Amino acid sequence: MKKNFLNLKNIFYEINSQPILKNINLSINEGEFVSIIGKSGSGKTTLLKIISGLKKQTQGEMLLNDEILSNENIFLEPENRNLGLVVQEKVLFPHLKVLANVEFGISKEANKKEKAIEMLNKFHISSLIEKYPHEISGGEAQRVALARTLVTKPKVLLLDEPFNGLDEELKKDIYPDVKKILNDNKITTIMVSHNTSEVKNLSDRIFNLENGALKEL
Amino acid sequence: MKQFNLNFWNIFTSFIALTFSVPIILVFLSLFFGFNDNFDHIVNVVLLEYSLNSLLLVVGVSLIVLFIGVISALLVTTFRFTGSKILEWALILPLAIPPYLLAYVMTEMFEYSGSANSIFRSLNLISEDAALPTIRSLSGAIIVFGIALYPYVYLITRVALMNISKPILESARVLGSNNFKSFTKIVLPLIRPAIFAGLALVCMETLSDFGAVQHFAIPTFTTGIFRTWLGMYDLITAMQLASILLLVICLMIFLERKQRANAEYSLSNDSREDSDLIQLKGIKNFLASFFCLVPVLAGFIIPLSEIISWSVEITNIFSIKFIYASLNTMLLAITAGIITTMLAILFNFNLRISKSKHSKLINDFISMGYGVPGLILAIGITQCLTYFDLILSDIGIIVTGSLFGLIFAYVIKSYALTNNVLESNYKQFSTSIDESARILGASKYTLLGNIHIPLLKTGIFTSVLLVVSEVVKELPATLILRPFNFDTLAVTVYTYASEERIYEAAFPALFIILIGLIPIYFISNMIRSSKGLN
Repeated sequence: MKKNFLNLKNIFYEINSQPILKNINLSINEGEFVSIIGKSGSGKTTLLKIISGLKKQTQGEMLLNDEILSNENIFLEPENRNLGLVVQEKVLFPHLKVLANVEFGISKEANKKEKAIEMLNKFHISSLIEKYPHEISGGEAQRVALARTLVTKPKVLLLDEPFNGLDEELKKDIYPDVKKILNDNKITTIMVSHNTSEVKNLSDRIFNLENGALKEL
Repeated sequence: MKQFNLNFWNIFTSFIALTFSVPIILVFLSLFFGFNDNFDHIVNVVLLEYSLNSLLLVVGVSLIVLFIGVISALLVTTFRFTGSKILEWALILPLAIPPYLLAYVMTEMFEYSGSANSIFRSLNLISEDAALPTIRSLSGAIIVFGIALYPYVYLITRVALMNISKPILESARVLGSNNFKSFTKIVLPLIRPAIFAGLALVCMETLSDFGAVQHFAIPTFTTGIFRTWLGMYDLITAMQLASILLLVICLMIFLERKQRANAEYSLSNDSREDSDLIQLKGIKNFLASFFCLVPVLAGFIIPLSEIISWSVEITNIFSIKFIYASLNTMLLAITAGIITTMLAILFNFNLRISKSKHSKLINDFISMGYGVPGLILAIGITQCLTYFDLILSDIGIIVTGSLFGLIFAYVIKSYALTNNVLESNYKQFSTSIDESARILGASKYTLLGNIHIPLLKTGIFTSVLLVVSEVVKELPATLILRPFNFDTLAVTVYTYASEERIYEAAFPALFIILIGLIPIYFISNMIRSSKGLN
């Protein structure tokens, strides 16, 4: 297990001169599950978007496995970072069936279909492959979104309140599946949430994001 | 959804639906009257030409509207460039000028002594005795229709693009898609139903047009129907030709509705914001501005300037003919607006309280009237009124040639407009308001009069205005169904254009454009408010 697999150094982010994130420093080991909690509007989602490359920090540097993802001079586009992002919103492509959704991120490999079905099997939803996103439930959609991301074997998985909106019973079903897959594949994960019990269930380390600064709990 | 119940509301709505469909049924019934020599002559001599010209027109116009409509929608929703804030609504402006009016303006401009040739000569781009190619040709008609109708595709595509969820696009990028893959695999499939819905509307409008193709002397189905009826005086053959065209139009209506329903699955509340727009610089900025400006110039600013320049040449601005035509138009438009809106209120009220499948079906059915070409509607209504007067022959001719037929045609054509407005207005207030009122002892009539109508006030006003703007532009049905010596603004413009007295058409044309701007104001507001809500 590599130490300091993902490294965030002095990350600042501001919108219209209003600081959102101030001097964020975070080092995560390979395979580690880190959670960030904080109030709504504290900048949790912004931090994930900066890591994924959907936003660019105002200052600071980010490294993944000693390679620079982003600093003042270098910016690796999100599609080239090999990270996974699962958010709470409905993000399945509505015009593609479940199988095609999961196959979407697998790049030109011959056994695309087998890989997608194998991942769907791990989440116990392989029966949904012929269905469109509007034909499945919220819990099923979230499992498909996770499967779609994990099948790409991301170096880091970013979860933005992925279980929000699911009922407690459903969460109890999903947590073990997610934990097992992440452990088996040694996937480094950062999850943001405002649900402390969810965070305790899954995380190795927990941070609190308040007034733009991170503090380990 | 509940099943059909035999009560006043259901009987009333069924009766209206039947009345709306009688003219169309009569047109189709003509296919069972037997085919005479005129029909054989048309089939053997001109039908191929009609079909080919109509087909070429539709294909050519489709290519132009796709090119302008889709690219301009993509540009204004994805990028920020010089003038993009103005151009995003200015691109709708050509909708205010009906194709026949644009055809008259373009013809005059491209005449030997027209303004286009004069400008080219003064810039030494052509020699003194040369002239630009004439616009009165099939290719000219394709360009004119393309410029006049691209806003349909632009509008629907733009709304579809605005509604694509931002997290969906972000997911595609994080999953490894570059901009090109995101566009081809996600954006394009999501907006495809909207593009096809817009395209189906354009095809319907092109096939239904009479004024522009007649002015350009292009034999198409509509001019053929007109010629058969009023040239050969053979109404049955005209109806048989109309039936063929109507079948094609029905197919278009079906496709448009199906595609529109498909487009709804991509709607989202997380659509893109202004801050997501990519700023263009340098040559890209110039090209984007230029691409979006050209259709606005060609479809609105230049024709409007040309008409204004004609009006300067006219000494007697407010002629008696113009005043009468304006009054007649407003009388017809407001009457049709009020009747159509009242019907839409009753239908939507019935649908809301009964929640029956039957009411929904009827409402959807009568909304399809917007797609029926004015000329075909006029033929069906004429036949219908003739039968009616035959039944009452002892009293005399009552309805044939009266304003009744004309208003009937307008109501059928514009019902969909009022229905859309009132349907969306009704969705804005919860049905629990109705339940509370009923529990407090309100009858259905009290509920409608004291609760719904005050709540729908803005929708009712909007709806009447939209019908007014639609009626003011309408030409073929008005031309045929108007009472003797009863001119409207559209008919006045048509008459002046036919008599080569186009300068005198300037004021009626300006008035038509001015009223045609009403729906544009509402459409712009609607798009702006949906952006604000998101």
